[in-house]
Order: sequence, then structure tokens, then C-alpha cells
Amino acid sequence: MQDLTDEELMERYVAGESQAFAELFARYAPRLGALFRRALPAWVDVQDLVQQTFLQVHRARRDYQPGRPLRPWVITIALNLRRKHYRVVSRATAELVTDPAESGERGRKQLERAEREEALHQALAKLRPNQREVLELHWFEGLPFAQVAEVTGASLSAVKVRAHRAYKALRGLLEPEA
Amino acid sequence: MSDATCCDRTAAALRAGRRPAPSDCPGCQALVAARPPLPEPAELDVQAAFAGLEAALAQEGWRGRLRAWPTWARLAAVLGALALVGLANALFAPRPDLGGFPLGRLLGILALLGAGAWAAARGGLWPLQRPALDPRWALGLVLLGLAIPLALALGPQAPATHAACTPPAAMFSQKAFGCLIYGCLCAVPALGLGVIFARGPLSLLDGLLLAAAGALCGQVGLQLHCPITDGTHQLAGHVPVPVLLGGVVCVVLGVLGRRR
Repeated sequence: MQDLTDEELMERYVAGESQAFAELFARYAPRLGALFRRALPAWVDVQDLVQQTFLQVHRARRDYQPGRPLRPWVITIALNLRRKHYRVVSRATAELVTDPAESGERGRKQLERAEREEALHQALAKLRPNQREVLELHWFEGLPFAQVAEVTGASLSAVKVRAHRAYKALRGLLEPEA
Repeated sequence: MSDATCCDRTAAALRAGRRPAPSDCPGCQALVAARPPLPEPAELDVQAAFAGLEAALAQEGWRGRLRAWPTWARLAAVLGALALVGLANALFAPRPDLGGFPLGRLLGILALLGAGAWAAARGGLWPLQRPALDPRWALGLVLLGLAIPLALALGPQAPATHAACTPPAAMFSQKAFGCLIYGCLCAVPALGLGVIFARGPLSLLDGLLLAAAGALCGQVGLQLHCPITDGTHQLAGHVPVPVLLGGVVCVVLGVLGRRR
């Protein structure tokens, strides 16, 4: 099962193999969790959205066209759910969970990293929603521009323009922090 | 010795619900003691999330099987409901002047209503794996549910070829109210199927799109059943159908939204 591609797993799931669905979930849940965590403050909401995303994947499985890339398909569902049901709130990133023994230099570095990440996410929240979305998909999710265009429904050129403006705006917002 | 900067950071972390970095500063320790942060996992608990998902899947039931139909099949079912309403009216409750009604006009009106219902249902059942529908387009489709019956009421009317086409003025309110109720009843199959086939929680816009599809299905029933050719009657009895359905959908979704 682990040697199969995402698309092969999805085709097997559509054919009725429930184990393929579990494997897909194990592969995608952490990435989806990171995607939602950037916008939502509470892990309970993140977990709920991850479950909702896969519930929709299950319901929409007969709409899946064999051979098409699965990742943009799943991410589109995730982004639509996020847009549909939750307000995007800029909050700090993952919790700074520190070992009490890690005070001193290591704890200080962890705190500085958390502060830089918080500054990044506050800057992201100030971007226009369509720019922020393109940036999240391209930078954080690592999707090529063509797949970003497929997920957002915009043309390839529009996506590239939004990405350029988003990076430029982000640089302007973060430079005073540096 | 206290450091104002570290206490500010600790206070900010506590306000944001994060666990602050450990500190020897008495001020920071006092802040933590006064408001201990809640422990949070550093990452998603995948096993717990999957267990929750399996529980949700186990509850899907008969509606889950319908929701899993491909999108083209769900749309076809809603349009099938419209066709059934039309057929039922044509066979069992046809307008008395059907024999003398211009066939081309009737078919054109039914085609227009069918196309409008298809477009609205497509918007209401828009699949989540596709980029979101532009809200302006969606609103346009909702308004189509009102615009078509309005155009039919305000446009040139077919000639009255039967006594039932021109009822006495004293019966205006009774006839208009009767058509309003009849139109809403004819809307129920398409609207109901749309709600059943919807895959996720309905947003207000989704609900209004399905209401528009249902309302146009109701108009099919009215066009095949009601012989009254007076535009004023249609304004009073046919046009309010999408308004009433839209209002009911808003109220129901509002109540359900508050319960969540």
C-alpha cells in the first residue's frame, strides 16, 4: 500500500478498498493540519476541518477522474471548506512547547523562532485573501503554479501576478521586523 | 531581577493561548501562576482524527449513499424531479385551456424554466473539489429564480381561450393565494432533493440557489396548471413563490446556524 501513488490509492478506494482510504488519510492529514493551523487558533478546529475534508473526499469519490492529480483535488476541498465555514484569523503558529530543562540558550532560540513565525503569520493575514491563498499553496504546500491555478480556478498568468504581488507585499511587511 | 521585555512576551503568549518559554523572572512566574496556559499538542493527532472520521462515516446512512452519487447524477435527479412535476401536472391537473394554448410559447416557457432550474441547481450542488463559484455569479443565479417568473408576469400574455382564464374579480385573492401555495408545493420535490443531495452543510447562498431551483420547478407546475392569463394575478400568485421559498430557507438556515 505504501508503494502506491496517491492517485492509485484513490482509484483503489473508489473501487472499494477501505485500507487505501486509511493510507491516504495518513499521508494527507499532517499536511492538511499544517494548512489549517496557519489560519485557525485551536487544534480542535484544525482536527475538525481535517475530518471534514476527508468526509468530503469520501462523498465526492465518484467525481474523481482516474489519472488526474489527487493533491490539487484534496487541497481545493480543504480550501473551500476553510473559506466556507471558518473566518481566517491570523494567529501564532504551532505552540512553543518547551521542555522545562530547555531554558537558557536553546529556549531563547525557540522563543525567537516562534516570534519570527508569529510575525510571518501576522504579515500573511494582512495580504489580500487571493494573494494569501496563492502564497500558501505555492510556498507552504509546494504546488507548482499550474496546480495552484487549478485549485484556485484562476488563470496561470493571474496566479503568477498574484504570487509576485504577494511576495512583494510580504517583503515590505516583514522588512521593518528585520 | 525582572525584565519588562520578557514579561511582555510572557503576557502576550498567555493572551494568545500559547505556553510561554520558561523563565527565572519572578514577574513572568507570577503571570504564569495567575493564568496557567492550556496544554496544546505540537501537531495533529492523526490517529484521533481518523477515529473521528470513521465515526462520522459510520453515521452516513442512506443519505450518505445519495450524497456519494457523482455530481452529474445528483443534478439529473433534481431535474428529473422538475420533469416529474411537469408530467404530473400535464397528465392529472392540466390547465383547462391547454388545448388552445400556443404550443410553441408553452414549450419555450418550459425550456426557459428548465434551463434556469438547471443553472441554479448546479450552483447549489457545486462540488467542493472545484474552485469556488464566484459569489456574483451565484447571486445572479438566485435572482434568476425571481427574474424569470417576473418576466413571464410582466411580458405579453397568451390570449384567453377558456372561461377559466378570466375568473371573477371577487376571486382574485383566493386564486392568487391558491397559486402561491400550489407553486410552493410543486417546488418541494426539486428543493427537497437538492437539500438531500447536498454534500456539506449548506451556506446561505447554497440554500438560496436550491430555493431558486425549487421555485422554478414550482413555476413549471403553475404554467401547466394555472390558466389565468392576467399579469396581475401572476404578480400576486406566481412571482411570490421564489420570495417565500427564499425566506423560508433563510429562516431555517438561520435557526440551524444558531443551534450549531
